[in-house]
Amino acid sequence: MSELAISASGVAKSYTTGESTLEVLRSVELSVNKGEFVSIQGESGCGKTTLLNVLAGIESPDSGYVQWGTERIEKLGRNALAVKRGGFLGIVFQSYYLVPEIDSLQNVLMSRRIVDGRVGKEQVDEARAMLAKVGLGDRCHQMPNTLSGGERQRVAIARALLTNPAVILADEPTGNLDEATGNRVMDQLRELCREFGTSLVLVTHNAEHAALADRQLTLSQGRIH
Amino acid sequence: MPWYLYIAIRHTFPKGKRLPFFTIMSVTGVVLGTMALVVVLSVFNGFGHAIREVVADTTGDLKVMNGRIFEDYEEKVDLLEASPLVAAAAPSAFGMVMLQTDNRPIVPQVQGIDVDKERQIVPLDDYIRYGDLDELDDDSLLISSGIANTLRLRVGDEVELYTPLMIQRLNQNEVLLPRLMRVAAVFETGFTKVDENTIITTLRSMQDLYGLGEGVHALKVKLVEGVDAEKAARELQELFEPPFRVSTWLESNADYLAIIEFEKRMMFFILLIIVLVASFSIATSLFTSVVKKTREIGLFSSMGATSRQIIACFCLQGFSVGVVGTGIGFALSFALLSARETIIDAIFRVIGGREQTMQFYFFSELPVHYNASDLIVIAVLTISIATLAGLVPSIKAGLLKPVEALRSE
Repeated sequence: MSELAISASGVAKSYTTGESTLEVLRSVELSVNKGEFVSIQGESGCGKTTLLNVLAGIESPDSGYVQWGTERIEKLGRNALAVKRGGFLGIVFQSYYLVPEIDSLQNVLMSRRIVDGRVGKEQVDEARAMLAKVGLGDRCHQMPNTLSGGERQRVAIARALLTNPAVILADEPTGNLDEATGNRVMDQLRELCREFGTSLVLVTHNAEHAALADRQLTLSQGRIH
Repeated sequence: MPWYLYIAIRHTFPKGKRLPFFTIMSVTGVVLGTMALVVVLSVFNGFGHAIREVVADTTGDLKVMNGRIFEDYEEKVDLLEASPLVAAAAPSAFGMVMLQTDNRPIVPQVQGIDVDKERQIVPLDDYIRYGDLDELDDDSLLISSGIANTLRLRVGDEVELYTPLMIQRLNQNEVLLPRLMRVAAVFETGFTKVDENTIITTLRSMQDLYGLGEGVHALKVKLVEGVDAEKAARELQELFEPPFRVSTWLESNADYLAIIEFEKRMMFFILLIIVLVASFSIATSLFTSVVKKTREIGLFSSMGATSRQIIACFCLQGFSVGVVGTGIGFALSFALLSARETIIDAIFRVIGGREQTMQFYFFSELPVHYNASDLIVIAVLTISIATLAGLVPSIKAGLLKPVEALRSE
């Protein structure tokens, strides 16, 4: 039997604006095994990002629970959850979110700095190697504003993978990229997750990218199908 | 280096990019505040220090008096000089006289000294600007540079002296005849209080002028190098019966020093307001930075940063502004103070009136003394205020919910 990497059980989430309540997630059940690649598709506003945020523990569900490995996370305090998240998850955002004041190498090292407290030569070498893996070995000292969109996203992927997390949560990672660049970034993300044995939960609009997954799921009307 | 310190430094001083407006404005505020504090306090310290030095140089370290005239001063000088604490002791008589030349009168302080003894206490020869100290006899006097300028006197000129004793004699219907004296030399100590209005005669002349007989008013004492004046005063007091009192120059000039110390403290608190104003600019800029960096804060949270680390990250930006601002402020203050005479000369060249301005002060140059404890207090206070200024925006950043931070537009 495969080992469970991340799961959501009976997760519900709604937002109240004035007198109206919008139920975004309704009793979502999701399990992702170790090393598995799962894609989640759905219409805009169907709650894909909310589901990813709940899985990442940066948003609490109204009911139900999320498990990282075998540990339920709802009882962890904010700081304990943050520390645990740093070591367990890597998150890739649609908008890359690189720190503009530091170069590519230092951006990649940020995840290591936060998780380990400080970095030494060994970690710097690892970050260089990771940048080389995403094809940016020669861009280590370039500032984010001098990189193309595709290159920035690859730096973000290298950053997410550097701490060797159990799971990568990717929220529309190719959403801001042209088709060719998006395909290249997606291929690299999938290859690297496979190489490191990292589970990948991909939220995407792109059917082609979703089709690359071991399992394709759809979120509609607040439920996973 | 922890990530929050690294990011704080990079946010404030990004590598290979122009300094952010926040950094320039905040650092400038701290620099100006630090400069104001360092410059003003160092000048006040300079005044205090210079007064101490000049007073010790011109009057000796200690003074022995009984508030009256005493005649057995030679015995007492021997007694003092027998102490291992004392380098030399000299008798002194002092008072006021009216000095007149060409119908222009002034009322200077007069001191009667034993030149040979006085030389062991005060570097008299160094102070002589014109004339010769050895020319001083019972019919001549030394005049300060201020009196020489005011009365346009030169070495060899004659002046008339009137003393309170003569006025007493006038009351007894005696004829009032001034004492004619020749200017033997002109001196300048650099201590305006002395240089403006002092004449020096031999002890015998002063005893004649004041009718002291063989008496003197005080003994000046020069201590052996390195001996603490207050401690020595206490020990030497044991050699004398009351009403004789051994006092330090500090006690004798306590009023000047107390005023300077009081003014210095007041200026410190007034100038601290500049640093407080600068701290508001730091706080405002950091608030703006927190708003601008909201998504970044969300990113750090999503990567495992705790609230405390995020608070530390923004607080350290205030701290780094404080450290850099204080460092630059110190460097500029030292540069400014080392060039103070050039700057003051330039100012007086434009506005004029250097002589008139300086005559109100004790010194012919602006004195400066760096006090390590003052500099430490300035650095610690400035950096603390800058750090605290960053605390409120930092707490706001630390309390941001990651999901809200990531969703912010």
